[in-house]
Amino acid sequence: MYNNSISRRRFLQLSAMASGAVALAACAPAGAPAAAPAAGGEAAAPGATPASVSYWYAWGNLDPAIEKIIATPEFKEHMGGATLEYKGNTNEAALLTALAGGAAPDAGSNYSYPNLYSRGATIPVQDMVNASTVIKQDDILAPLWKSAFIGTDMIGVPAIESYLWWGLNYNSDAAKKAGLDPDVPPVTWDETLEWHKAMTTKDDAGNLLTIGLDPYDAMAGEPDFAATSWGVKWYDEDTKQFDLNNPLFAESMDVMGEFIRIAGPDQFAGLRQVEGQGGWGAAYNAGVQDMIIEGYWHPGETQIQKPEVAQYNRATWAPVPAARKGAKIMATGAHFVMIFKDGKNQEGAFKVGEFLNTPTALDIIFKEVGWIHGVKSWLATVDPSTYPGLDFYIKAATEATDFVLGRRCPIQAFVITQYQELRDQVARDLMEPQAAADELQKRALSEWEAQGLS
Amino acid sequence: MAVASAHRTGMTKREKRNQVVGLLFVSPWMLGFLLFAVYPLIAAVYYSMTNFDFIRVPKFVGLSNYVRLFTNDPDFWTVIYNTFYYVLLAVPLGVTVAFLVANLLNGPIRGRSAFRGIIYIPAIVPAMCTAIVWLFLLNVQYGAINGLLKTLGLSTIPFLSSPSLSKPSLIMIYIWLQGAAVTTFLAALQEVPKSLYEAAMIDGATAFRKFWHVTIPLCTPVILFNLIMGFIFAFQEFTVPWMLTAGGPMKSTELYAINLYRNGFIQLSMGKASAMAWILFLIIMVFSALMFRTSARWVYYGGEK
Repeated sequence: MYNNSISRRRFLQLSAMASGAVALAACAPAGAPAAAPAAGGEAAAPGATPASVSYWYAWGNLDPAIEKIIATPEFKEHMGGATLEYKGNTNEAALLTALAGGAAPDAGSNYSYPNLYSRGATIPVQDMVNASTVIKQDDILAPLWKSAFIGTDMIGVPAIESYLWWGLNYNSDAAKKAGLDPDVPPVTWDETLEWHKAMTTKDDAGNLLTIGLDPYDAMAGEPDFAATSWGVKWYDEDTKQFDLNNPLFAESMDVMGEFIRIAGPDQFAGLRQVEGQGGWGAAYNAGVQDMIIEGYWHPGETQIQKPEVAQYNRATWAPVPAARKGAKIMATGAHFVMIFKDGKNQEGAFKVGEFLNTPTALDIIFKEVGWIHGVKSWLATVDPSTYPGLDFYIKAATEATDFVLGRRCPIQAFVITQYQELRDQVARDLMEPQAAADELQKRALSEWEAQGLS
Repeated sequence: MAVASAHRTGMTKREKRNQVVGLLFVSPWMLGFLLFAVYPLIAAVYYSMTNFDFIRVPKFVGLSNYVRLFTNDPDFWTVIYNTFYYVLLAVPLGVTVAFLVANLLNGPIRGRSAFRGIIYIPAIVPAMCTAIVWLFLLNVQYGAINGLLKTLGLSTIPFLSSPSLSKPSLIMIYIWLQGAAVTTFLAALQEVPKSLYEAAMIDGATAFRKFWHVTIPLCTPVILFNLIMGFIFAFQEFTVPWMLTAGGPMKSTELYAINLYRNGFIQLSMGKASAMAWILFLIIMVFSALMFRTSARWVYYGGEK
């Protein structure tokens, strides 16, 4: 009799072959996705520009603003029907992995711009900017515009938020309670130290309760700040020379270390560990820290996050050594929409950067996140009293005497890590300031060479 | 009639078919193993001999990453010291505590099942959650422990913010996480024949002598297993220290894996990071080999003299 049934053994063999084939098919690289039809539009013709733009953002702050921005008719019209695939909270490690894997997004912001550009991951954009009817050089704060260039290449579209970086923000109510005059803020490091001593409180057992200033918190934690305050240029991007062993830079570590010695290094470190979980300004919002050196975002962010503290916020010039009294130091540097060389829709990416310079987008960002951008015509429409302390930043653009472009060094992250360790050693009296500065210089030069940048 | 016994060479058709079927069965796993284990290992060897920053084409530099690590890296020897300090204290202490706890839980105590469950919970809590919880227990300003000390009018203890206390604090957290080791020890303790304890009791052995001469020897295979697994994982410890201290204060908790991550993903020195990965692999191999080699002297497998 002819048996049509399949044996158990044969069934298992066929199933195994099928499973293996499915597994192999699943592991095969995906083919290029077909261009999706734009919302409300016709299906894209073969070979036409993709109708979506992928845009990655390193932080999560912008998410509520982006949601509102993409819903505006102005954005839809500007993008010509292309959809924005936005991904916030995507850190640089994820971006680097995507770049190495050949899956770069079209655009990105809040990454280490000079690092990425100097290694060829992104494209220069000055041709696109020059042809733009939205972005005008005259309408952007001059130092901000300059910060967009490395040599003659414009490395990204200045957009979203960029303004001035260094203001000494202080809680006027805390100052009054500490017996200080909030209308006469400190100007020099000596004066700031006196404020710090008055504002730093401990309990009977010597446990830290509040501090005046963490000298290395937020923007003050980068070598650009200390160097500029003391009148030093630690890295020259034209000559590519380092000057980290400058005696004045060494002095800065000693003077700023004194703030830590007064509060206690272990106590300070403990405060920073918790602060790190909430990002910059958490200790200020909590009323534990009464002064902070931060940028233009501080007034708006504090108002949105903690209005009961924000109402007392004031801002003034960051401190300088007594020998430089009268110097008004300021830094700037743009945030960009960078366009990736391997992105599929560079034109779309540029359009995103363009739109993030328009009043529609900037108004939403100002309201939702508290940030401002250095577009002069838009800034003229901003009410400085919206966020306490914001008026300082808006006026400071024309009053600063020492204006620097920050974060220009391709090994900035490395230098900051070594700087953190060595200045801590100085603050704990484990190392002499000049020895720390010499060591920092040595490490920077060694890393520069090792990364093939010399 | 003599039966001609043919001398067969090679496989029969049926054997070949069976082999193909077997290979097909394991092919999904083989593919995963080749793609996600073997290929990265080989790729890391290549990248370790290049300057590679994810973006530019890797530039071959031979062994200079390795030479630089051993002779000219500002962090390497600090990182080696920190890691060995952590591993050589945390793992033996962790195994010891886990073994003692397992012995306690093996006894006839009320609520034993509940205790076993509670002890195991830390092993299944995600590492991020563990880190956040411990941060808010140990932080010098806001931690619960220091909050209690402040209430009592005492000075706080900077568990995570003092360079001298930060590593011991991480070791304490590691010991707290030994629930899985406790479970394996419990299983081993169940296998110890009760007749041996009875014989020891008849011979007048005290509780300590029973523990020392019966319990420990018969659990040595599991002790070896937990030590080796402990060393392997402790050398690669990352999440909890990164979340709690990010390598600070003053690099006192900059463990090997943290520094490797920093080199690769923050400082864009993936070549150096790959070299570090291979050095770590060799360290773990040597450690494991030493453990196995010495195990003949102290590990007792049942039936051996």
